[in-house]
Amino acid sequence: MVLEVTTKDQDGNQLFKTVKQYLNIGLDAKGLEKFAVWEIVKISEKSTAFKAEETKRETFTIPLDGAKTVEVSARLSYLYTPDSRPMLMKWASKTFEAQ
Amino acid sequence: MKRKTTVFILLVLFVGVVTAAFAGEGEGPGVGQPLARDVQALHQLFPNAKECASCHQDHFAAWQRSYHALSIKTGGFKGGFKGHLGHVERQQGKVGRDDYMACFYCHAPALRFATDTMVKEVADGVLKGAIEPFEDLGVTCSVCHRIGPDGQMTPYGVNKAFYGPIQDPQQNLAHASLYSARHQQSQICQECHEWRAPFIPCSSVYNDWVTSQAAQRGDQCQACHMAAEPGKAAKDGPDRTIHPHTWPGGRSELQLLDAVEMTIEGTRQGNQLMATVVMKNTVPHSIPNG
Repeated sequence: MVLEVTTKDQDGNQLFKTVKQYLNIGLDAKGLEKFAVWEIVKISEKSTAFKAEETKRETFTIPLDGAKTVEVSARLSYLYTPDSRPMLMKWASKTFEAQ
Repeated sequence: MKRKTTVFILLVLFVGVVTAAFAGEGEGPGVGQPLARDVQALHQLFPNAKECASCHQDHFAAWQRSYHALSIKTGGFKGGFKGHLGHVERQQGKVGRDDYMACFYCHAPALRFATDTMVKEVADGVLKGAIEPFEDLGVTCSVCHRIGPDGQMTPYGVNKAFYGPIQDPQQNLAHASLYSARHQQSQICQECHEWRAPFIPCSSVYNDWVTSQAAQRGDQCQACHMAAEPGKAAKDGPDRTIHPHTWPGGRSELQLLDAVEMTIEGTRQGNQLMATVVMKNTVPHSIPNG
């Protein structure tokens, strides 16, 4: 899964963009990270996949460059395989006004 | 007298043909039945899904669109199967029945009741892309509906019945119908969607579900992946609550839309914004998972 977070100011200028990936990391019998499922005997604790019923909170520090209004948008997409077409799972946006 | 002799000869020939379709390479797991050595013989043990279509059109049509129907046909399976066998060959210098069955056990479950020779023929067919003779050996109607309440998958001939979640099945001439509470529970999915090391970790959703809050509430896999709707289980049958056989999951955009809740929180601090994206996985297994 891929989370893409973007921020735009009141004029539509992009102030910030970041991408974060969530995936299982498999280990072979020697503890080496492996992608091929047939080599995997254990799932690494470094895996970033969403656990069952888990809530993840990702915080980003976004420079505003004097913007009065900013809109933060987030899109979470799912790739069944690394080279497959991303499918949109969820999106959200929120506008923050100048204080 | 001549007629009786002819009938006897025909009977001997018939028995000979049937016997020839089953080979002396051992017996099926736990049922004392000989192993099948060709597709026709295997379909005597686990009937072809196409035979179910005449009375169960809707379920058959749904199943045809599912990845259960494509379990040995997809490029993903072929690639994984090839990779697994290559890995085993590099490790052990050879591959055999157990290595083929590591994948076929779930992707073509009826092959548990096939000879080594037939299993290798199917494996060669998958690897060469020549799957047509074996294309009806996926996760078919009969393999799931021949799992009894005890969780054992047995050939149709054992009691000529199919198991399902309907408590008052309509009697019919095609087959006996028996109620199985297991078909309403996650345990029916367990055998192929639970990861038991050292087997290949294709799917571990059952492992996740077991310890989930959903499991504690009594929510089963079927609630999301076979969501109940009104309909008929069989042609000319009574109106019932039925369960579509498409099993939407990670390839279903609609299913994915419901899997995660998302909100954005934030506070401005001078000339910067601290924005937090909150994502809740609403399903009782990890994402991604198989």
